[in-house]
Amino acid sequence: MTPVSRRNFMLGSAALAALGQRVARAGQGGSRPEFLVVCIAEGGWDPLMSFDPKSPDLAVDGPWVDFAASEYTRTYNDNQFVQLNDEHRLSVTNFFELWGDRTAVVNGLWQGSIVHEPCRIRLLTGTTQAKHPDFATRFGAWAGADNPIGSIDFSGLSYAGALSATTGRVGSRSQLKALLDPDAAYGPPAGESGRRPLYQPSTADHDRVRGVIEQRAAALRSLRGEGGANDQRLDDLMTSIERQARLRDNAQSFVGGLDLASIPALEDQVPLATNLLHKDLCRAVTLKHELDWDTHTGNMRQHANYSSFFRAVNTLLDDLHSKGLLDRTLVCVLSEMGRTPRLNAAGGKDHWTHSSQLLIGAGVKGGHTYGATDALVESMKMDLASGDPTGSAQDSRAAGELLKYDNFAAGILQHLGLDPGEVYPTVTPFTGWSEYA
Amino acid sequence: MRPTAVLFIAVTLVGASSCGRAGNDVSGSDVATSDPSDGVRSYLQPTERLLRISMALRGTRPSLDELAAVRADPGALDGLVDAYLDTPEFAATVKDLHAEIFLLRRDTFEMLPALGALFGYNQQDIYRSQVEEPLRLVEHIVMNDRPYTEIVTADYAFANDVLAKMYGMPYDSQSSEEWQLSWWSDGRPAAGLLSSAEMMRRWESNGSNFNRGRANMVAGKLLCSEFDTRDITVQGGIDVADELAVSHAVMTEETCSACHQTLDPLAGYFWGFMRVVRRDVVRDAIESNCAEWDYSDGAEPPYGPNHAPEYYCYPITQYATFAENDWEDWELRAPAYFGQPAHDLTEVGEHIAADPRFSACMARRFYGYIAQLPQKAVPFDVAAELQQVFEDSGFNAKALMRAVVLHDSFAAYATTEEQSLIEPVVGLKTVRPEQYARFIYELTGYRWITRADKPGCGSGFLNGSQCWGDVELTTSDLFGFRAMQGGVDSFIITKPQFVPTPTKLLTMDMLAHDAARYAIDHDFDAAPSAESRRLLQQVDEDTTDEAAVRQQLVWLHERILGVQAPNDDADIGLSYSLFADVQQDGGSVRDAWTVTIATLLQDPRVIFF
Repeated sequence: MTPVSRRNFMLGSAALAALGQRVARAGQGGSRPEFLVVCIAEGGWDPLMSFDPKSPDLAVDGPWVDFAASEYTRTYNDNQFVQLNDEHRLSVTNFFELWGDRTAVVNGLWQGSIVHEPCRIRLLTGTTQAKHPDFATRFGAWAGADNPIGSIDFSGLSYAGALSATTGRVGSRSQLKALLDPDAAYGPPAGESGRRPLYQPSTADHDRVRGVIEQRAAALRSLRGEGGANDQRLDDLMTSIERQARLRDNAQSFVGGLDLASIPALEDQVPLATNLLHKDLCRAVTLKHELDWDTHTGNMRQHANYSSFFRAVNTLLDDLHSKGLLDRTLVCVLSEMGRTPRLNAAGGKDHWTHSSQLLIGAGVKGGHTYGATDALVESMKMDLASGDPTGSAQDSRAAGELLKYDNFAAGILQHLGLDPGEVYPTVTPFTGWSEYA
Repeated sequence: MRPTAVLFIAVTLVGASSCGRAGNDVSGSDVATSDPSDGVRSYLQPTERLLRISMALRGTRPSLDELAAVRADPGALDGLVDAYLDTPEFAATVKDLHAEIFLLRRDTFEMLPALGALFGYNQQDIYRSQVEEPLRLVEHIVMNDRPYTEIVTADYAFANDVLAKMYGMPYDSQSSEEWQLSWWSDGRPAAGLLSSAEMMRRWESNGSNFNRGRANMVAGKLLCSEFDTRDITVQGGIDVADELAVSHAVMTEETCSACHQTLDPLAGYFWGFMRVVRRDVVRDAIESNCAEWDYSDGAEPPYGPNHAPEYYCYPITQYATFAENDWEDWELRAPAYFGQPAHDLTEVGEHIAADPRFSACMARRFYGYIAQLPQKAVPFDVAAELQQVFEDSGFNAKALMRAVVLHDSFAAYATTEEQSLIEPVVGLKTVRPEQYARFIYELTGYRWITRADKPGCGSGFLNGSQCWGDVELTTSDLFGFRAMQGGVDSFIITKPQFVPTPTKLLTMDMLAHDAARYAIDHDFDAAPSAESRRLLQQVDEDTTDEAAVRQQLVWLHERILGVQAPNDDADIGLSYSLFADVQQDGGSVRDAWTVTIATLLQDPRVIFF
């Protein structure tokens, strides 16, 4: 992708303003985000390559180990001190050029684990248990009551918990298409001919089936409801029946973009996701980068990963902007863990519990880096209300507290308009980055 | 706002609903207007209980004869449970349970290549063989009433022709038995699943992880005491990328040694499984013609010392006896089982078998799987009761499973709201993808299978046969809909989902219509007699008489839903109206039966049981 120049971007914005389209940022007297995009670099990125640069004088192995000559640092906006390499990670440079002022960099998030799945659960749900819905699911369920579906997961990483009736999975190879597009249904096994599906219900058939199932669900409720868990389960069924129908009714508006039986790269997921949001088919989407970030051997692969990932992120933000959605969307660019400050014997980096995340878009006090890690790349304490680092985590006398996964998730929920106290009753939300705090 | 849960709730606390419900639109003589209740729980009718047990144990409905037997004599239930425990469907459930515990069935992960000695097989052959290897062991132990503890002590394994070639296991290729009793021949200690090649591949933990992942698997999966959910505090400048620094830290740092003083000694028994059995390593080895590595020029194999290609060509040498004590090189704690000495993995297996945490954990896991609860949510008193049954039976898994499905809590369908705070076990159960597939097959004969190959997948030497052949869509994540129906993909999605989702319903709808049509086409076109038909034994394609159609529907309702209802029942009327409406709209008789039966196959009483 040819990077969009800042000049062209500014001209584009002016043109939109001239057309009278809303370009004012949400939060400046505006409403909360209407949409949420979660974009995940799964496996653990190395923030030293980007958002949390350290000096080569320290006992850390930064990207200069690989490409000393082309590495440099730069400060954007208020205090976004970033590590760059135009030769090997140009898309990161482009990202900060184009979107840095809309971006909150969050350094020093403490995950409390160095195992992939526990870290992912903590990051996305703000808890240690997978039974809890992640914030994308919560927002989708809350904001998307009238949409065909609340949230859609392209990544396979979403935790839906008790709110599963409001979510949909696309499938590892876009299998959702086979369920919604009869022309894309899977063929017969070897040795058999004939079309599949064997029977294609008409719209009237679907309506009749739905009507009967709903009546029977109501009857089952009167027989076995009794309040509590069974009623909830039947409520979920009714919700899913409704959502199933809405998905079917709106299928043609998005299944064309799904490519059955291929694993979609993040750049392929982006137009599908923005299309879903633009057409109000859902309120939240979760996407995943297709490359493996778990660089235990050859940390050098992080350069190509960053390059690819931020190319897609730039496309995502550009797409959202061109559809008039960026001011109405919170975009969370996340990775479940960081990587060790030093290289291991295999030239790779291992898991690290201190991580960095990005928050972009509606209501974000962008152009700023919140939180910090120390010279050992360990999370520092911060003032959760401002995001200012306050001292070493090991200094009991330092003010502030460690930014943990629950503070982070609570802050996102609050930003989105939900009450974090209902989910995290004893947790202080991290709101330094939010215009709504 | 929910009241705070208190343990001492008198069982006389009764919600207004405890005496069952009446006046509903779905009747049927199996559902009395007053369900059995003890004032706290409301219980299923005997035939409903039979249906729930049949679905839980087998994934299939009870036969009409079985329903009639229990209707006539509720005491017949016990005998039917015993019969169910000896069926192939129950064996499949046993494998499903263990596949979920150990997260074995992951078709989205790389398979070993169909190259070299495995040229000519396809990816499905390899996937199926790899994941079945440990599951066949468990199936054999459970179905032959062997002590369940053999899952960690067995000195045998199971192999098919693929595995025999893959790992050099003894195998009689002349026998008609695909899966045969065999053993590992590379010197690994015999310890049931702890010796399993696929278990060690699934729980890969070599290299700088120092087998801690495998130790965590043992502690978590077998003892319900995992380490990795605890907070891990890494502070103070420990260079986690330096293996020696980590080794020192885990010995000396308080926040590290709390876990590592137990974790590392347990991990110490797995050092022999040093080979990283991955697709690319095996492929590269075969590509290099499996030549013995020439160390004379000082060059090391590309994947590191002791990972020479000759170990990775089929048959793979996964275990290295010379590496068993490599923990010493890293100055780690000596191997031990939670402070108890054990000579090798065989003795670790014996320790596990004798460890009360093992029987407690498996009692929880069995109950949790059947009751659809996380094992941590199983009430202590239930777990203790089942553990006792398990131990008293000599660790007979069928006895444990029997106790699970006959437990009072499993016979209940609801509790009072107050009771539900302390007893989360009771409630509607949701059909799992594997259960739904067996349910559909048993009723209709239909399997949702597709030829999953892409053009050209079988060409070229290095591609070998990378095709997948025929794939069952209900139980595949790579091509199909398992995780989309709430199942686990064993890789990223590791917990089942019991809330019915839109994609679950979409999947069930498509499968239900296809299966219904398949059965109808068979019944009208291929069945030589009415008795040999699967579903439509009482009507022909030209039958339009309402009474006859209703009579057929009565049979279908009982067969599919397990509910006996008279011809003029309102629910039968609902099905008949559906049948008539499709025809009125121009649909053929086959279309009408397809839609009507498909609706029954995705009825709420099928989705839930």
